[in-house]
Amino acid sequence: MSEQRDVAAHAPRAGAAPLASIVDWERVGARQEAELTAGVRIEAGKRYGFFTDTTLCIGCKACEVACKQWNQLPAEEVDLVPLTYDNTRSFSATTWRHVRFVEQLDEQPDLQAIAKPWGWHGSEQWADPGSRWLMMSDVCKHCATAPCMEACPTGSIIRTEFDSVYVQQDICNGCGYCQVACPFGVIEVATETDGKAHKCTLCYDRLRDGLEPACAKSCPTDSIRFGVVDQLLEEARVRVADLRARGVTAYLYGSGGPLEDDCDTSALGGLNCFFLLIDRPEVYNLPAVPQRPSERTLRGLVAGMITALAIGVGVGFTLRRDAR
Amino acid sequence: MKGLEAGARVSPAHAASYMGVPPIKAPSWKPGMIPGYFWLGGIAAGAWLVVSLDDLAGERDEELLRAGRWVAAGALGGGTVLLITDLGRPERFLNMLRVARPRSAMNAGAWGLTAFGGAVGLALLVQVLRDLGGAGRGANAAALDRGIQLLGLAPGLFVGSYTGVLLSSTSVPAWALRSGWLGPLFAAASTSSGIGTLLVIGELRPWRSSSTARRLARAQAAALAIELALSHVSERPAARLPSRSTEPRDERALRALAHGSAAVGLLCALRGGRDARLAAGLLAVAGGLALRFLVTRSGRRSAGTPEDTWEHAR
Repeated sequence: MSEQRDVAAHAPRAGAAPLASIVDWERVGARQEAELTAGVRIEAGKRYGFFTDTTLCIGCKACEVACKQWNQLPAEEVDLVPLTYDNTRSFSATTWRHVRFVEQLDEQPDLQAIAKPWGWHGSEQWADPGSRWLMMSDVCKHCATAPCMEACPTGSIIRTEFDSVYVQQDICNGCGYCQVACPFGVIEVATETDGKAHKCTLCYDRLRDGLEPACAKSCPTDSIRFGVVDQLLEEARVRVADLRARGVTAYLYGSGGPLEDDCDTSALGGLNCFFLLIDRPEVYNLPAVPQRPSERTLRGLVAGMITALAIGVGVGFTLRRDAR
Repeated sequence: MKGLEAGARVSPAHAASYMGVPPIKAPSWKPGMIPGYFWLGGIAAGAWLVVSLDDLAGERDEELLRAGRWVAAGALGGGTVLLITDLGRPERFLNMLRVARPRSAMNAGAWGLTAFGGAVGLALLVQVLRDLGGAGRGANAAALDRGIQLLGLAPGLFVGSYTGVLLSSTSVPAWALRSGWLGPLFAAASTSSGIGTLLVIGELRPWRSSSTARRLARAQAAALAIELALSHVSERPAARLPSRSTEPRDERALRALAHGSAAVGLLCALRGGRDARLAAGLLAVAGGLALRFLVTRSGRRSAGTPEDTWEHAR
């Protein structure tokens, strides 16, 4: 009962009253599945997101598969990124989770020496203590001030009662402006199929029924953690401190404030889905300081109108009657 | 990066990229549609502006007003068709008008286009009625004409300039870095190609008033000079982008075409004479199209160049 009123109280941000959850959890007195699998109760009006700890990712792609299964998304044509096991390459209208494989070698191995049988001296040939493999499961960041949502001319992209950014498929007209607005290359228009924009929904349908998102549930190492953003941030800061104490150069990408002096996501008001990284953001194909495109809109429109008016005045002079 | 000082292994800034995979998406727009719309919408706005100015400050040439209204209607109609066809779901184009949000340049543009389309439609209706002899002439008719032109003036100026802002309000580095300049540049290009269209019409079927063509040529020269200056200045902020140093031949050709047409058109407009005026008009119109293709193309390539994004987002 009160649950339903809460839902309605948080609805106006999204513009329309959301449907009530199928299950009235308070009335049945039962626990949600998310409480068992993620240790979090899902309630309308709280900020939910992911904390993705890339140091725990093993690149198994279970999240990608779980996402595609739950959301009934077709597989992509296999297109391996050179020198990696990344077969989805980037986000697309049908790939909403994407695992990157970054291979860093201290020195390029001397292939000729390795090929010669007499050049083989056992394992020290391969001794390369600095080499490492960075794996990262990337996802829509559900930005606090989402550029896609600000760009959307139809109001199709809304913020839900779980503070996620959601594309209403029955309204999107496929103009593609969100696609060029997103600073992370997440959202894409399915030009070959239904002509509408698609991206991660933070499993809106699952959240409404008390289930954690499919990717987080399937992650075997808990690299992807689902929860209330503030709690996740606390957990993440503990993890960063722990890693740093052990000499790992860890930091959070997307925690909102300018944590690092040249890595700052505050233009977007922080990201509901944030990441623990151990190398520069660009290594993971993330911009160090993502910008908010709409900051340029009003200023630009005014500058354009003023110039157009000035040009009009100038041209008006040239059109005057010939002096004769 | 302060937080990373403790460890040994941090990649140098800008040296990094993920195997050249672009970190942002290029536009999904079908080729040609969007630059075509920018161009046609610009011609409509420019033609409307110049005939309104002639009404306010010039000679009130009724023949020019009539031609300007037909050009605006035709170009705006064609441009709108291109814009709607480019949507993933064209049948839902009216969804753009279910909300009003000035932070979305696309939404603001849809409203501007609607307002301008209304004024142009009204003007065409009055014009057709008058040509059929249904509406009178005289003082009342002149006041009505001026009222309609003024009604469409602000939306017209908007339609001619917002298209540049539409591009610069994105995450595409080549457009974003030129924010503040693309709006003015497109406004100038719209004016010059609108005047160019009228100039060509006047040379193919000469105006009854002998001074109209001369005055249009002067206006053409002024508009092209402003366009040339703005296209020079507006390129500076994006000149440091890595994608600029790897510009392919076809893009360099487009650049030469856009800037060259404007420069030669300017000289022709200044020279005067029928053939020179015709050439000036044609060059202004062609240069406007080349400019729109150049800007959209360079943006598409910039979106595909990871180093451009690193340069922009830092």
